[in-house]
Amino acid sequence: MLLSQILYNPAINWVITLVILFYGPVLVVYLIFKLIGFQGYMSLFRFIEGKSIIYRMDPRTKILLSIIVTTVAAITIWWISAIMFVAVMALYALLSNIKEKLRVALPLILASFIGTAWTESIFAPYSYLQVIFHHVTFLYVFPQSLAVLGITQGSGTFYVPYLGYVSNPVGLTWEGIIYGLQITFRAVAAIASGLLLIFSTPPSDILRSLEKSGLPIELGFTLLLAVSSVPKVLENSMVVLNSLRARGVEFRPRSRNPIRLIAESLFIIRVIVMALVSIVILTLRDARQIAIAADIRAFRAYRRRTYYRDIRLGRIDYIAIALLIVLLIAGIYISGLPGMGAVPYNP
Amino acid sequence: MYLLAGIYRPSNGSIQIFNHDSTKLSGKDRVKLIGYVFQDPDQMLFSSTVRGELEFTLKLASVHGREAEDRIRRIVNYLGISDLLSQSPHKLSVGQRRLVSVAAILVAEPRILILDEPTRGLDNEMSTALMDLILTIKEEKGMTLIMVTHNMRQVGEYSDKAFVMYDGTVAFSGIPEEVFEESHKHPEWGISPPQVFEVTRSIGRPTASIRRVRVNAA
Repeated sequence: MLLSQILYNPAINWVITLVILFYGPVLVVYLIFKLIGFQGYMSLFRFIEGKSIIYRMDPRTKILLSIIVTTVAAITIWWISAIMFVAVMALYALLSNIKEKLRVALPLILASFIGTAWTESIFAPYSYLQVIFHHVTFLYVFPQSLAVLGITQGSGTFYVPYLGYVSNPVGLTWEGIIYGLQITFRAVAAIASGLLLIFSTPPSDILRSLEKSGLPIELGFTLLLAVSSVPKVLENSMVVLNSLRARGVEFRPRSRNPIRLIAESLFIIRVIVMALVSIVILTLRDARQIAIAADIRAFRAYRRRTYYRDIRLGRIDYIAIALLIVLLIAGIYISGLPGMGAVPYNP
Repeated sequence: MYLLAGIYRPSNGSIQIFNHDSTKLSGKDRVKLIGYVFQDPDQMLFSSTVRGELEFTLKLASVHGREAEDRIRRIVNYLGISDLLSQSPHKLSVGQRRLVSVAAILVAEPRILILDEPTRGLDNEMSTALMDLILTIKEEKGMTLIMVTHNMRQVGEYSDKAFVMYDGTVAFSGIPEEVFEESHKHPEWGISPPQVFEVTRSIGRPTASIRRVRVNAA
């Protein structure tokens, strides 16, 4: 009784609601930076040579793996995605620096689960939850006026713990959490298979494979640059922030005086803007150097380029492609079975 | 170096700088104790003018008013960049940007100065001029200078003590001549002694001070 009075005191109800609404996304960002950090992000996009079977495979096979896993995950029930995710993660054992990759990949995956479950627990449409689970449980009810934000609103009367029966409640649902976890399996299966390609393939081989697959070289080069520039931008950001720390900048206001605290916070914002300008300058300088390097190597001078180290489909690739085709056919077949198709997805 | 400069916190233990725990220093106190000049000047130049760059450091060190103005005047005269004060640091030459980055740190008058590859990207003449200038400042201000370099000539000519970092540890430490004497270790460490050292050794004076050669040449 006491707990119900505390939880649903109008003022406390608003505070808890706002914390739930805003803390979810903040927690995810905090988790990622706390557990991975800049260095972690940089290693995420960096290729390190290895000798296992995954490194010997043709990049096109790995691209196909990514496409088929994403397709099957999109059309079948969530636990098929979970199985594929586990299978793809098992392939990570073949990476040469598995510990480092997992140190980065696991917090990202964890953050995806928390973030999506948190969001869907609040925003999953009631009609979807009713179709999927046939029953919806409201764990906590928000002020009714927040329905305008698109927060899950039940139609009918529901029993809410510590509150009793409420008609048309607006709030956080247990089924929304489950739904969020389920759809995250689809996303992480696709992300994990895509990252496997980046982790185990030299950028030049990815470019060659895209070209051989008929993609215009300019487009492939642009895509590759976008991926490979991520660690560079992060590295620049880290160095610039470190140089500001070395100059005595503190990114956390220390003062207990409210006026000084505001002044310190404004100064930090100003410094961050200055840092952004510097990061952009460094990034543009890097981009210019890459453009010069590409020109020096006669990029686009001829319609067709030859490569010192060409890629070729081998026996392992043919076996892998055959298995992937079997997976795709099985996926299409399973998706047609009653109750085995994809639940509606609400991004 | 990042640990020493207080940018990173040690996972265990502590770093004492002049009896101050580096992890407990505020930004203001840190910048007065220890200055760090980064390898690439573009990584540490943020303001739209050279003056703004120096004022930024002074603001962080809580130096204001007349004293701030005096310090700016002194340091730009010292480094010979007084005519650059109103210019954008990003439009200067590599050598000038390097001097501005050094000025931006020295203006706080730190007791320790860390230089990461200070002559990277500079020609021989500019490198020598900058190193001589830094050495003069060190001697006049009584600063401790810590320099990271792959240039063994600079190690021989400018340092009192050298530390060979190899495989994440200090593999050897001593005066530069002692480092150069460890010839059997050089291939592993990836260093080769400067020619002046090879010459002194070949004429039968292997322990002759190569720093004295610099002093004589000067």
